Amino acid sequence: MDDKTLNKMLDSHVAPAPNSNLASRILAASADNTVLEFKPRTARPFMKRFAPMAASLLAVSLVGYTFFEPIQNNETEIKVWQEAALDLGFDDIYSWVESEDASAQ
Amino acid sequence: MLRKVVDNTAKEHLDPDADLISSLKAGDNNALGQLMERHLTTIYNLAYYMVGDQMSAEDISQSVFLKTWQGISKWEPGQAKLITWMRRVATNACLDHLRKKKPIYTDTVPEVVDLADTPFEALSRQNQSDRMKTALQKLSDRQRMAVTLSYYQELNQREGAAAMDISEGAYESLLVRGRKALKVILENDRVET
Repeated sequence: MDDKTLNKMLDSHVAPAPNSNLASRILAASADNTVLEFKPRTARPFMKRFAPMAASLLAVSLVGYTFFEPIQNNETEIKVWQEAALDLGFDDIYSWVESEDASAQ
Repeated sequence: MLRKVVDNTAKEHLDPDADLISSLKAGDNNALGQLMERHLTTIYNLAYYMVGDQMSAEDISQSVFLKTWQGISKWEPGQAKLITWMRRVATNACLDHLRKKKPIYTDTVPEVVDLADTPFEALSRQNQSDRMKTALQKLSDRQRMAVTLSYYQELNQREGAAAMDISEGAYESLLVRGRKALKVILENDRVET
């Protein structure tokens, strides 16, 4: 194939015309762009600014609560058993069972 | 003689859009409208020959004009023509688009060519424009860009190289290889049909 034939074939391929509303679409988008150019950080709503901080605090509180609650329960339980042993007159045995000597044996 | 050469060089560097730049910088929508009147078809055609799809070409054209609109405040006249810069933006947008484009799989069965026809009849039935469109899409992106800029945008070697942001030698090489590849593709296509 020579250059002349190739050029003739290239000529045959013509781009279709763009949509007639393309220019107005671009003009409308350019107007939108001007409005959306810059927004200072302080313009963010109060809730949006503090929502991440509040969520972090909530997560920390939940973790703290779930971690410390069993210890607290355990301490309450020990106190109840101690009082019951005292009430029943087994406080010496209870003290011995809970003492280091008993766990060593 | 020397004066004529200097005059021609000065004319080449004169930006025909210089009259619009100050209005564009001031955010004048009418200036954007005028810029589109002058160059929308050029940018759209460049994108169409590159991506081969009208809707994508329109989207690319829109992004080029919006980038021009947003970046015009930083534009310093005298360095290059505005249209050269816009062509470069369009070139990059097309290459980006083609990189992101995924293959489209279709259930449509291609039309069977009736081999009982004579080659001449088969050839005349097939739309030449479609053949060229298909052949262009088979070129590498950069070869297709060089062919588009040179043939459809009628840019000289210097302007084409500037639009692609490559050396004139590299542009010439892409163009030569692109045309050669097109001939091979079209000849093979003719043999197949």
